[in-house]
Amino acid sequence: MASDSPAEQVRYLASLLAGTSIGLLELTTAEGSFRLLRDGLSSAISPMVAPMVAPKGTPGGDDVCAPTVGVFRHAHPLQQAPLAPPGQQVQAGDPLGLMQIGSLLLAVQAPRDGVVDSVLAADGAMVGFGTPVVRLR
Amino acid sequence: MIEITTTGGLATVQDGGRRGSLRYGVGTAGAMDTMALAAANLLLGNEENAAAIEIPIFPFAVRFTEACCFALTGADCAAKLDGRPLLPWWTHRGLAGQELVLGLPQRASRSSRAYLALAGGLDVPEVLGSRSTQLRGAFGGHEGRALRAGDMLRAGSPDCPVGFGLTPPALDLPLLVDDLPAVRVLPAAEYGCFTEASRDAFWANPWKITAQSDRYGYRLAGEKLVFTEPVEMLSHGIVPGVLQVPPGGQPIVQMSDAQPSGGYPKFGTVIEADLWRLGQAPIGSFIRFLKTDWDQAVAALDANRAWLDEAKRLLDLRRM
Repeated sequence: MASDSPAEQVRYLASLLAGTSIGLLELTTAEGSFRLLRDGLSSAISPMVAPMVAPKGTPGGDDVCAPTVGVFRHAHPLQQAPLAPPGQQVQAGDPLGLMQIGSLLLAVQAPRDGVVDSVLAADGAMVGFGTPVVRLR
Repeated sequence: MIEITTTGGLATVQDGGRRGSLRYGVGTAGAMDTMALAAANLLLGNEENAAAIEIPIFPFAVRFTEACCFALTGADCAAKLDGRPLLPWWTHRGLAGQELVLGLPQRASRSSRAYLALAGGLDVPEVLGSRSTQLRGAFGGHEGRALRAGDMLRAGSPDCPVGFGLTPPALDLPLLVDDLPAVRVLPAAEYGCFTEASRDAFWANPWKITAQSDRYGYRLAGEKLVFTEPVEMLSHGIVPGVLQVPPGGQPIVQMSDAQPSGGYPKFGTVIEADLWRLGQAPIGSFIRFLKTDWDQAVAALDANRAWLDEAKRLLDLRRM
């Protein structure tokens, strides 16, 4: 999968950026910030700062982070019911929400078995890579 | 390999269609929803028109005899793999011994046919350049017939990246009139043979997909189309999408398994770019027709192409 290591994640973000007219992508979290600059027409990508690391879990719960930049969805676009409402028992690998990039959908997967404590990001919110979106307990 | 364990009948192997053989009297066959077929194949990194299973009757179930990657598109059928729910319009991996079950189409998806594609496409022999089942001629697909329990089908390749999906094109390229699914129609050769009142009513009113609707054609029910005078014609070439009007005045739209000739007067033609929308309309549902012209019909094909190209670009980036 493309997002296994930070280096691969940067490469993936850079390739997404290359297909757009966006000149600068900047992400800032408590762990640090990260900038991708597009060099005019040449589409060269200059990583300015070391890529950030997804935040660790908070005490009393585990925050599950967005695996990519995109629009966070609580439910599949064909379905009304949210994938992981608070109180729901989940197994490792279950989709807790979806990330939408254009027509592409990616799952925010449960890293372990557990119970959904709360959904941190609003349905339809644009979130950055590494943004905590669901809290497990 | 997968083994069909449950089928309500009429599930068939279909690809993008058998193009270029109408001159021999061989119909195109092919998927009723070509966008869902293409999306399923793109999700797996397959050739866009590779063969998959088209499923119109449920429940439908298969057992994996070995690990196999698959994609589900078309109607959201609340699919489960060994009892665990699966996301629709998504790629998944089945392990040896696991059973995939597709239930009834969920009402919200307003669709009637599901597509199950396997990594590498379904490995069935090509006949006249296509792997589609030609039911009338009893060739192509799997032994030239609908699938039965016990049939075994082989995937073209064992593995591919999985765990992502696509938004259905019905949501990205919506076409609704008064909240009913719509398709665009070009007036055809005998359009002028109908009264002005019935022509106006055709565009203004909903049409019901009757129970006499299948892969061959959809018989519609609505306000009767009235001829200004009786029209008699010799049989002539027709293609999927042609909307014929028998003497009773209730139209028939030719679909994927249409025969290549017919003699009823032609009121219009559902544009090629919208046949996938009609192909998903459930029996008993209502649709609307929108009058269009050649330029808009070509632009609609371009819009479909652009959706598929963008989906492929995003998926290729994901798989890097």
